[in-house]
This record gives sequence, C-alpha cells and structure tokens, in this order.
Amino acid sequence: MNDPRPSGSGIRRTVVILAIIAVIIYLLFIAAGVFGYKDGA
Amino acid sequence: MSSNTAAAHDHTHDHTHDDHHGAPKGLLRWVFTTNHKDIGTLYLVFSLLMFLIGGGMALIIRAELFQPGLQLVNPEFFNQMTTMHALVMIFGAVMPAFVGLANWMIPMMIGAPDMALPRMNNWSFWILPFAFTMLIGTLFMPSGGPAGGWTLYPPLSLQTGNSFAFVIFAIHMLGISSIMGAINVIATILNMRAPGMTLLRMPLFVWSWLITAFLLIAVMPVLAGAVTMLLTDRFFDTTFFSAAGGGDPVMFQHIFWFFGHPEVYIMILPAFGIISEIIPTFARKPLFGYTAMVYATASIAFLSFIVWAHHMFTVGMPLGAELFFMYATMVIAVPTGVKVFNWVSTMWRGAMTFETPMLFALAFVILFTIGGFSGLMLAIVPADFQYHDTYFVVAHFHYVLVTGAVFAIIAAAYYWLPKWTGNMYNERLGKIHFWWSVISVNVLFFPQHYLGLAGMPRRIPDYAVQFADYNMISSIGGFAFGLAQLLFAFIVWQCARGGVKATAQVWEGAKGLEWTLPSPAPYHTFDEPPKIDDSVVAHGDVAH
Repeated sequence: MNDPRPSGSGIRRTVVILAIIAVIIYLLFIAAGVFGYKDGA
Repeated sequence: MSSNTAAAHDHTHDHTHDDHHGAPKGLLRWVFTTNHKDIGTLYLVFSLLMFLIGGGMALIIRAELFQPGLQLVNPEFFNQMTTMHALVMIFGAVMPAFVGLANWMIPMMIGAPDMALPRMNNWSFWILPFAFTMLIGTLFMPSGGPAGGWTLYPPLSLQTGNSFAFVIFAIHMLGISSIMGAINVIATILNMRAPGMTLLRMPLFVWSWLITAFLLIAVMPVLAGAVTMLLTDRFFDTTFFSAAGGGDPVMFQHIFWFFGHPEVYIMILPAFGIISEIIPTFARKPLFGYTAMVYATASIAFLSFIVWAHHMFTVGMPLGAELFFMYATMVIAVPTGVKVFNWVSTMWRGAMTFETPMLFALAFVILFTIGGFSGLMLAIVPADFQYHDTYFVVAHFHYVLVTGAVFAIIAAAYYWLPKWTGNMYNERLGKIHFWWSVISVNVLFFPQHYLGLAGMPRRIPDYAVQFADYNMISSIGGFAFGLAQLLFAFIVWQCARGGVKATAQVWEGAKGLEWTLPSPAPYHTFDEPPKIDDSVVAHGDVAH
C-alpha cells in the first residue's frame, strides 16, 4: 500500500469495489421500502 | 525547511520540457480540464456563488421575520425559501467547497501528481451546475419549488406540483457527483501516496477526507433510495410512505436520517481536518495527539450511523429505543471532546500569532463547541420534546454549520490562498472581515436559542408578538453577516488579481509537502514522487 506510483490495477480495483458497494446500498434501502409494507395496515 | 524548499524549486525547474506545459488558455480550459487544481478552483468558485445565492435566500427569510405579520412574501414562497436555502447551502455551498479544497490540497499533501481519476473528476464537477440550474429553476415553474423543508418528509413533500420530478432528478445528480468525488478521493489516497507517506504520516486534512469519503459512499445511496421511492409515490402510484396503501411515512424519516445524520458529519469532518492544519501552523507546535485525532475522527464517523433517530424522538418510539439513541448521541461528545482538548493543547505554550486563518480557526473552536453543547441538550429525550422543531434547533445547527463548517472553509481559503494565487491577501481587510463576521454571526444566531426556548416554531413566516424583539435583533445580525461575506468575496478577488508575492512556505510555522512547492503552485506538481522524510512531514510520529 505504500508503494510509490501505483498501479492502474490498484486504482481500478478500488473504484470497482466502491462502486459496487454504493449500488448494493442503494438497492438495499429500496428493498427496505418494498419489504416495509404492512399489508392491510 | 529552507533546503527542502530549494529542492522543491529545483524539482519544479527540472520539468520545463515539452510534456510539462502550463495551463491552457481560454474558456474551454475550464470545460475540459482534468487538472486537480483547475477543478478545485471550479468547485470553490461554484461554492462561493452558491453561498451568495443561498445567503440571498436567507436574507429573504430574515427580512420577512424582521417583524411580526406578513410583509414581503407570501407564506408559500417563504416555505420554498427555507427549503431551497438549506438545499443550496448543504449541497451547493458547503459540500462543494470541501471537495474543492480536497481537489486542490490532497494531491499536493500526499505527493501525488493529480487525482487518481482526472476525467471522472471533471465530470463530478460539471454535473453540479446543471443539477443546480434544474433545482433552482423549479422556483420559476408554475407549481413553484419544493416547500416541505429540505428533509422532504412525506406526505407534505408529495403535495409539491410537477416540479417535484425536477427536484428529485437534481438530488440524484448531486448524489452521483458526490459518490464519484468520494471514490476519486479514496482511490487517490489509497493508491497515489508518494513513497514514505505512510497512512499515519498523512496530514489530518487528508485523513479527515478519507473518512468523509467513506461516509459519502455509505450514505448518498441511501438518500438516492429514499428519493427514488418518493418519486414513485408521487408519480407512479406506489405507497411506500402512505399509510393508506400499507406504507409508512415514519419509515421515510428513518431512511432519510440514516443518510441525514452522517451527512452532518460529512459537512464537519473536513472542517476538523482544516482546523488541525491551521492551529499547529500558527501555534508553531506539532499537533498534540495526532494518532488520537485520527481515531477520534474515525469514531465520530462510526457513531454517526447509530444515532439517526435522535432527529425524530417525537414520532413515538419505544422507550428503549429513545434511551439507546439518546446515550449513543451523547457518546459522540467523547471523541469530539478529544479533538477540542487536543486543539487547545496544541496551542498551550505555543508561540502563537493571530493572522486571519488562525482567528477563524479559534472562533471555530469556541463557537463550534457552543453548537456541540446545544446538540447535547437536544439529545436529552424529555428536553427534546420541548425543543423539537423550534428555533432552538435552528440556532444549534447554524452554530455547527456556519460558525463550524463555513468558518473552517473561510479559514482554509485565507490559509491556502497565497499558495493558490502566489499573492498574499490583504491582512487588514481579512481581520476586518473576521471581526465583522464573528460579531454579526452571534447577533444573528444566539438570540434564536432564546426564541426556541420560548417556543417559537421553525419554518413559519409569521409569529406571535412576544417573539418580535429577538427576531428583529437576529435579522439585523443576518444582514450584517451577509454584508461581511461580500467583503470576503472582494478580498478573494483582490488576492487573485495581485498583491504582495507569497513565499513558498507562506507561513513561518507551516509544515508539510504543500509548503515545499513554490507559490503559486505550478500547474503540474510532483510529476516525480518527492522524497519524504521527517523534515517535510507535518504530522504523525516524526521528529520536530
């Protein structure tokens, strides 16, 4: 991690992981909305 | 320091061959730029513009509240102003200002040539003007702008006309911009540090931004999820937040504040980083308790995820939940206290001088702490039942965000302007700006504590006559504070145009990689990794 100039692959990996996390959180909270229905309430 | 400065000069002069051109000319430079300094400047200029527009909205609010009765605007427009003022200030002024500072300073502080993803950086910025044109444009649409408060609580927010679709789209674009910016910051810090710049040698500003960027990635998608569901409730007949259809309006509040509370820390952690840079410089001492500061910042970020419901104690929740959220909120005072004590300890027996950045930093420490204490009062459940939705809350978060976040941004601008422009700003005008601001901001916001304790609700265009005196005082403070910020814009403009030339180090006590570069910082810096040794590192476990 303290390597000097860096690998494009390190940057790519960071971006892909973070982007996937963001999308998962987005879907997770929509799912919270979907399953939050109280039928017949 | 002088040998390092000389080395940095040599380093810069070595790179005059073809591929190290200066800044391109013309308007298109700003449209197509991928240079972190250009993009930082764009963010900062945009944020200043939004600060003035959002400030104009605040003055409409304060003018209407100058005396009881309805004078200037109708209640619907007043509510649009309170809503839009918040959205513009949070997403248009404070957040972009911090991103601008991150763009300018992070690569120079860690010895990187640029941000890791320069083209995405350009895109992150250029989304903003379009998003805000759309957001502010709703004020001119037949159904008017959003008027239900920046929190967009349903069912009230769902009564907005068709302009609501534009509001939601604008918020989505702002979120995408923030997430891209955050990914860029993390990728830069984790992958682009110069050899020897270990994590625990990084400047506190870089640390605070690394943690902030993780917060952004964690919570901006939550806001996006919440407003997506609002959009479908409003236009596609879903009932996520409608009890009539089996949904739950309180669920929106939970989801919103799961985003909203970390968002508050997104707006204050970079401010902590700035203050941790400025105080050691003007106290001429290394930061006291560097590692504790890093852990305190991380602790505050973690705790921000488990306190959201303190914004909604009055909706009715189980006593156990109220107690949990009350105590969890109070725990945040511990790492925050660590920070305040460390700043004070840094100053203790230091050889202090009081240039404008230091004055704003000192005002930050004192006034932000006042905002913190009123936050503790609000955390107490039975007390909150009295304070909720009153002007006490308005006073509290303006102490945190104006004398906190905004003062830190102003301090940062004075601190780094000489590095950006190569010129010293007018110190005399800077001091006038400081005293004018610090007096007027207290005249503006302190009386609002009393108004709230006496029961004046927030977000109302008219009020009972017993609130008249303090409202008049508050409005006078508001106009004085607004005027002071025009002086700030003038000082920045004057400094950008010329002035006494700044040295590379600028401030006698300044330490860190950015101060080894000439002023103004060349268009391209650290094309080759700098050599990092203790003498150029400001922070961490280094000899001083």
